[in-house]
Amino acid sequence: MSRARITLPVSFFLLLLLALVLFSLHLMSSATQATSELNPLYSWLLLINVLGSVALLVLIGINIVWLWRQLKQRAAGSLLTRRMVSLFVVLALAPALIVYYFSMQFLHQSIDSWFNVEIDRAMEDSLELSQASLDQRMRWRLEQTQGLARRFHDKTDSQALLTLDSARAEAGASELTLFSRQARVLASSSVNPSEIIPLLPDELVWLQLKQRIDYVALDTRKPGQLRIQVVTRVASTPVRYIQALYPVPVRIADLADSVEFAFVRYQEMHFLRDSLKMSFSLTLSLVLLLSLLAAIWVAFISIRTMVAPVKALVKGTRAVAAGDYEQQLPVLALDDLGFLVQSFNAMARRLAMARDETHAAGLEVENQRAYLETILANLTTGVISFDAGYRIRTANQAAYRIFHVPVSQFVGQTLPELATEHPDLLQTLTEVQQLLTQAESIWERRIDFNGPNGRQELLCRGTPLYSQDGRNIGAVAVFDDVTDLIQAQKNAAWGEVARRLAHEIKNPLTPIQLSAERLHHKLAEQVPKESLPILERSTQTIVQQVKALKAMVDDFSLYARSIRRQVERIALPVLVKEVMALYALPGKVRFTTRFANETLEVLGDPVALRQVLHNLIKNAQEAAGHGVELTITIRRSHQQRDWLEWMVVDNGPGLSEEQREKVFEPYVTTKVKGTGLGLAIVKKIIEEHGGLIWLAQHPGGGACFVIQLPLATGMD
Amino acid sequence: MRACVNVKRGWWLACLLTACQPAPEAVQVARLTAMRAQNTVNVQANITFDLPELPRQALHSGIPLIWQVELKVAPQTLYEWAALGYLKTRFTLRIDYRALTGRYALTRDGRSESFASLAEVLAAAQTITQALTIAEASWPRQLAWRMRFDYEQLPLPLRPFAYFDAQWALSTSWQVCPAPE
Repeated sequence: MSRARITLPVSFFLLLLLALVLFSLHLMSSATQATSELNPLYSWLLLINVLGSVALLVLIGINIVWLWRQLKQRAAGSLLTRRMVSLFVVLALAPALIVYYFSMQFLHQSIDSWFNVEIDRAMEDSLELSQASLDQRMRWRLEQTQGLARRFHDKTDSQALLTLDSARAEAGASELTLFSRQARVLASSSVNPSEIIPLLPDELVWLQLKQRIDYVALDTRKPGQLRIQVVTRVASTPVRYIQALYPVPVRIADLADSVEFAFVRYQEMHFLRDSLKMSFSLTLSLVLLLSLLAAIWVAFISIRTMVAPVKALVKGTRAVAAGDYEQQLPVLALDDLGFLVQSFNAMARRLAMARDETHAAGLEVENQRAYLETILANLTTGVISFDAGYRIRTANQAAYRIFHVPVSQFVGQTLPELATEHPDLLQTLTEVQQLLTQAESIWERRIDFNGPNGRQELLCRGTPLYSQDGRNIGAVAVFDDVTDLIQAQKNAAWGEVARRLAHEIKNPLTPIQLSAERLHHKLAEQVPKESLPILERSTQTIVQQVKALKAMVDDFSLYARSIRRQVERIALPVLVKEVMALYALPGKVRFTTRFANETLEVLGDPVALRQVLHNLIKNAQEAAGHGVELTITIRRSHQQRDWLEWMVVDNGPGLSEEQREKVFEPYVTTKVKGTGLGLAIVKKIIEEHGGLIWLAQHPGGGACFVIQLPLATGMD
Repeated sequence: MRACVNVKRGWWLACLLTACQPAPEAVQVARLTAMRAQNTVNVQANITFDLPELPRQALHSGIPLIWQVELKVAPQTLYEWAALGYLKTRFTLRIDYRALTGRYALTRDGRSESFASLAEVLAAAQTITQALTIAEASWPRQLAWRMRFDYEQLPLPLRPFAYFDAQWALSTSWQVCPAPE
């Protein structure tokens, strides 16, 4: 049994792919967390998952196209695959879409719930509060700095330098710097001695100061430190500027930072509100899409794997239905379907064995039948079998030879129907048909009929056929052409008679003739003159009759012995003309010849063939008397092209049907004179030359002898 | 009815053509000059900002706008590429808005400046200088400079949409200028 490799429904590759899809989704989900290290990779992960979805869509599209083609081709298992895939997609899609819909609803509502007017107001108020607090502190620091400026307006640069530290410490500033009109640092004091270079106001500050507007602002440039920067004009000559940096108390700075952070975060979230919804929706949709696509693709693969045995079974069944029993299906799994496939394989094997056995038996029967047919075909006996309705079922070649009718072409017809085109057979075949239908056991009958070659005698035997349960299932008839056999028997008998006659009669004839002639010679001088005529007439009669008897005995001896002594190639027209020349005396016999314009040669004894023509001419002379006219035709036979046809037609009264049947038999004659052996000898010579002779009906009324001889074409 | 269909078709066509038209660039390079000081090339780019509404709102919502300012040599031949390699320098340019102070901060290569208005900070950011030190032996023929908006620094929910939103197209393409001899 051919067992293919056993595979799991879901391959390792598929499991790996699913794991990758899940891992990718997990990474993307993790990346959405702001604190995740994967956060910067969010876009790439999103792109990878989108590409994965596109790839899965392409794969599913390929599978759908494949399924569509299978359905179009009405391939085995395609309908089952479509049904299973449709069912799976519906079963997978329906709950997934429901969950998706409610998840989206929940997600959007959750995000919306983060924001409301109260929180907006609270955030803005808290920021405003912080700003107000810082503004108040800045105004106070400005006034404080303006007070310091007033203290320095009457001091020189060097005096200011001496008092700067104490003034800074007194004001609680972290840095105090005195600038010239040209923004040059005149003096500076810092709480941190390491900061040598003081903070330098930028151009915008100077621009504002030149417009006699004091500058106060929060300085956030130092990380983690909030300072109030105040720059004001010192009303001295020349004008100078003093800059003070006041640290905001840590607690207030922290609170302000905290409020700002919360406000900014809230503002950011508010700004990203729609983006958040879309982003989460996109992620959720992508997760759902990727999961569904992966599931559908895996479903396609799994269903194809599951349907494969069914598909193979359908194919196998179709093959078996079409007669191909060699189908062996691969067993893909040892489950119920695998068992079914194994059973199918076993069934196919048994069917193949049964078919082989049946085929072998059929071949044996066919061989037997062919053997029997060969035997029947080569039998000289005609065999015709009939069905229960006595219609022809089979016929062998010998039946055709006997009846000269292609009997095997009339299968399914009765014997009389066979005679439709051969009315001369009607009586014979009707008789046989009656015998068949009436007989209950073996029967035998001798029948004769006029065939193309003359009278034929048949020995018919028949028997009805019965089945094992006794029903009549037809009949069989055999036909033996015994014409030649009977003729041979007759010829042999007549030959024996002729031989005995020649032997017994010819011997005493010579002494009788001699004795009669001696009597005439001795008594002619002794008898009275008036008795001499009687003597002469009596002895003359004896001598003549003895001569006649001798001639008759010669004919008998000629008939009794074999005539064909020497064989040579003979041009028959030439031979016929030679014989005709012997009868060339005017008024004796008139000949009309019709010789075909071709070489017509036969192998035979020229003396014997001359004898044939002599006998036929003699027969015609005796039949027609004086003024006999003979028409001699020599041509190639129309029926058998390698045979020669030689016809001799006289102008006599012809022969009756009854006479025609026995004209070639010895001692059959219609003439006063004659032994009745002339035509018998003709027939014997022709048959010894392998030919045929028969007397045909001639429309002119005379006798028409037809002789057929094998042509010497190609023969030595 | 036919006219109505044609009007509708025309409207859709107009919308399509409008959508297909390239959006005006928010950040454009007005001038790019390069000067050599020994083995150092100093590039000065004068750019103009026209910050679209969406980035402006994002900035005011506390989302910093961050660019990567990049300068590199631009090899023209395989030989130059083999000699120069991938020589490049980069610094970060960032604009912040502080809700507490109502001021804007411009941070260039770690140095921060404070401005009272958006116009001021954008004006301050118009001039960008950048230096690249190159070996004397392999002095290039061309330099390339660009200012690339860093989408990956945007908040995560904004990123996928910012990539495909024309208002967030705040980058310049590579600007090529001949290297000074």
